[in-house]
Amino acid sequence: MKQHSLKANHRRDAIIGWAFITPQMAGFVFFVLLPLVSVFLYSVQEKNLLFGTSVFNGLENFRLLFADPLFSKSLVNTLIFSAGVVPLNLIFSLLLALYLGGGKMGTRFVRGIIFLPVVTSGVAWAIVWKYLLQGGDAGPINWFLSLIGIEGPNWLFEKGWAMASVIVNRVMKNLGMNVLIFMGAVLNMPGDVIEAARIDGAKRFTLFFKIKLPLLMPTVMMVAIVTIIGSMRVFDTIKLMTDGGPEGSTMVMVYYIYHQAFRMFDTGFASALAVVLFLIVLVLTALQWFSRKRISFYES
Amino acid sequence: MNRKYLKQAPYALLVALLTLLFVYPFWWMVVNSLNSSAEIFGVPRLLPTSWAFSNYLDIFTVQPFARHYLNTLAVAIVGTAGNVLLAALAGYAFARMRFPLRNAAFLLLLTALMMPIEVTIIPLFFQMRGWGALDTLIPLMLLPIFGSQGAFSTFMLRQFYVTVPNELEEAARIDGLNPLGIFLKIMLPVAVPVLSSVAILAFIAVWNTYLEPLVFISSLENFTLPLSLTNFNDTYGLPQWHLQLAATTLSILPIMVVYLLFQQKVTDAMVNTGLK
Amino acid sequence: MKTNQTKGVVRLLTFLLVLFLAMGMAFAAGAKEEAAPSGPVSMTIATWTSNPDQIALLDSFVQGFAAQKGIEIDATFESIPFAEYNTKLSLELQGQNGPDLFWVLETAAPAFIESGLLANLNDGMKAYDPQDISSDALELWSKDGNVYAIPFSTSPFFILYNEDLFAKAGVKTPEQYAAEGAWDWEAFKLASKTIKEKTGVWGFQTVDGQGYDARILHNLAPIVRSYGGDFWTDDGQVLINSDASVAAVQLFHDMVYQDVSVVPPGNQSDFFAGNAAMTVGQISRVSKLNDASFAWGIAPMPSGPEGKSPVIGQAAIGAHSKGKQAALASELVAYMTNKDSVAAMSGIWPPARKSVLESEAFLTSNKSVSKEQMQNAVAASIKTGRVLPSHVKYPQIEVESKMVFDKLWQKNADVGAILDEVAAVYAKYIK
Repeated sequence: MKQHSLKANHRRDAIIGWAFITPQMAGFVFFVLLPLVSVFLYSVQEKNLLFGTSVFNGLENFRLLFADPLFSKSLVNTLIFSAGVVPLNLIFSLLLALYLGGGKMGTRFVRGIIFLPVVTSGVAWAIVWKYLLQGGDAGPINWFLSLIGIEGPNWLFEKGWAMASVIVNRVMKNLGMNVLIFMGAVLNMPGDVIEAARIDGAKRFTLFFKIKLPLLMPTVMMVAIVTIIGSMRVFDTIKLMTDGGPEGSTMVMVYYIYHQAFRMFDTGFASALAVVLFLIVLVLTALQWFSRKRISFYES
Repeated sequence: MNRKYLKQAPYALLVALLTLLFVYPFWWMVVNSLNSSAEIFGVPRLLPTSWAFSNYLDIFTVQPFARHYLNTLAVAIVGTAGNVLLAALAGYAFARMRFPLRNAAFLLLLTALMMPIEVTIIPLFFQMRGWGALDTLIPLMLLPIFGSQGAFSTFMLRQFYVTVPNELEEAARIDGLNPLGIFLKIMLPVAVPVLSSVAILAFIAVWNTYLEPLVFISSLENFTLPLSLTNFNDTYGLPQWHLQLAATTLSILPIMVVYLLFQQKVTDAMVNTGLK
Repeated sequence: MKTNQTKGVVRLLTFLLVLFLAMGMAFAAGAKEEAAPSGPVSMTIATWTSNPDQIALLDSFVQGFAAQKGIEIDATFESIPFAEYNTKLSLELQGQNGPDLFWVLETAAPAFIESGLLANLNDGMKAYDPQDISSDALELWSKDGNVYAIPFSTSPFFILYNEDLFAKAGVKTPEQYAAEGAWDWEAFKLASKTIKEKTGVWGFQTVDGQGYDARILHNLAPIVRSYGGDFWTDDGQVLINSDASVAAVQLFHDMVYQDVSVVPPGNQSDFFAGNAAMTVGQISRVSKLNDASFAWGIAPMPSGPEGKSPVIGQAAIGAHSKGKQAALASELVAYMTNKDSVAAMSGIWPPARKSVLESEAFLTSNKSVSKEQMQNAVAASIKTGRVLPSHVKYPQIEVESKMVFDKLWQKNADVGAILDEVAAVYAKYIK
């Protein structure tokens, strides 16, 4: 092997390293970083999409934003939505993974069917459920309920039920994915530790909370992060099922941005909303970064 | 004997419930895709009433549905291929190579991970307009490669490459391979399971994007499937249910079939992600 | 190591990737071909109809225009769904491939004129007897003496009804009521309720099934105005929460929640499929009944305490001022609204041209509708009807007020209180 000076070696490594990451990073700059800077720039302008105007107006958009009842509503709705989707998804997928992991008959079948919504497009899943959830007795869900004597509400047109429907729709859509991931983690749990605990007389509850859960924690954290990210991706469901209604009860932040930018044509105000959303996401990212370090998620 | 069956009961109940929740919607969709507009409402039946196979022909004449399918396929393939390739390159470099600002760059990239597309969609709209790329499939192909999906894939691959033993690279270097060669001949093949998971996730994500096509595409020929499915309206905006359901069925069918055929492989890929 | 094999695989993969990328680029660039300078001119026309017969008719005008000018025009018709028309159209007009001509909704007229996206049509119109177009009709589409879009449709909304269902329930038809001069909202409410009770079929479906959202003003305006109420006036008065308006909306609310005779929100039952006894429509909807499995008729809107106030839907067509061929497009707009074109369209889109409106031919222009029906339901209403209110900030008003209107669609809604809230929203914008 040729002898190179240490410096030349380092330089060569640096060039190669950067060469490998340049395509991804260049794209990142163009399609993420630059637009992000632009969003900040637009948020201090009065920028109307229909009229094509672009006038600097300082913090006016932000002033309007904080006085906007629909803004606080969308913030609260986003919180409610995530608080609904993430725990439900995690709890059910974890429980299902543990329950199904025992090698029972028909596990393959169950695994198969709960993954079906995952491969379905969000649009298709929303369209089908929009029909199923029709009010009165026109929709199959209410028809089934009427068989057992319950009068189902007009799901998508009543305040609380609309949000519940959207939450359930999203949970069902992503449940299968998380079940599979958890099943992998469950398979990977050290069997001897669990056996030892069982021999020591640990009951089901203790076994779960004190042994299994801690062992699964890294995976749970990762799935939680992915699910929280995914809980933002609810645009198609809301647009097709409720359009932000009724009375704005399913208007979440991401939908409000679209609504302001492309329906009200106020891209300046919408950009201010986007800035707020970005800051929220930034805080969440920082939080999960620090919590990962605490739960000793494996790093290099 | 009785006790054994009694124990099975809750499990059987669960399976029945899950079947109802997860299979019935699809059953209902297929059944009603074969009904006429009037029969979709009212008492749900287990079988189609009018067996209107013509619905499946009509969807191609009412809209250029075949073209929409191809558009979506093109976008998904290019987007996924680009995503996986660039993410593997970057992920490998972040994991195994030393270069200045490596960790800073990686952290920067991760900020894209959690960022919803809605944050940057407005400037992206103006940017694409400036480039003359509005109403083309170009933004739809580029965004999955470089946005949140790209950061996610890079992250996954980097985590994987960190676990690859040094010996592989050492051996390759001794064999005289340059870094690109090492990457192509050793690092890619060894990452195939993770590449598969990442590719599957990316493909599904790109196939289903709705906001980006909604904002960037306006001409009918350039629609992708999500836009197409919501466009089966009659003259005055009343959706033509039977056509919409037939189209939805068709849009799901291929992925469903592929999934059912390769179920074991897909499951393994997902389970592997969990193992990590 | 199987270096050669791996090399081959890598080569193959790279080749496939390049192939896919190339394919992708080809698709990505879209289907538009560059028109050769000496070839046909391509124009895009945006509408909210996708009815093939109507599109064919419009295309015939384009071809007539092309023949007259001695050039070749290749027209692409783009149909944007009504509920998203303004949004999508505005987005498209921002891009490079925006339509050259487009339909404009009357409610968005001020906003579009203000935006500068509509070309000035004065010059294009000169050749086609501009005086013939009723000045009332043009008012909405002009500013400072310049015409920015030409109305091609002044189409009243009227009642469409299913004769078979009425017969089955033993109820007098709307046409019979009208002939007696007894067709008012009480009769309407009673008919709807009776039909639901006797046949189990919904008595009434709101206009295009969108009466609770996209077409809420179309739905409420006839009732509200015939009671003497209104939404807002041009001189800045907000009237939606006046006693008359509240009484009117209460009537409709009772029909939905007390009588349960109206197709409720979210329910997709459709008059044209035979699942409702009455609905509201315009003459252009009549073509949907060509294959109807039931006998049907049309009647004017019911009258209220203050008389009749049918809603007139106006639609105009304009040219994109920033389009690549704005001048040619302006001329085409004028041609498409000249006397012959308007006469040809009058069976579907009642004319804004006086000469055509007052002709006998107009009354017989639609083969599915009798002369009397055309007279009673359409021609008479054009005289007494009014367009929906419009405003520069209409998109914002519509969206904000909808969220308040949503509250109406509950069983125990306090109609008066909710309309007060709507009035507050209106007051923000109407000055």
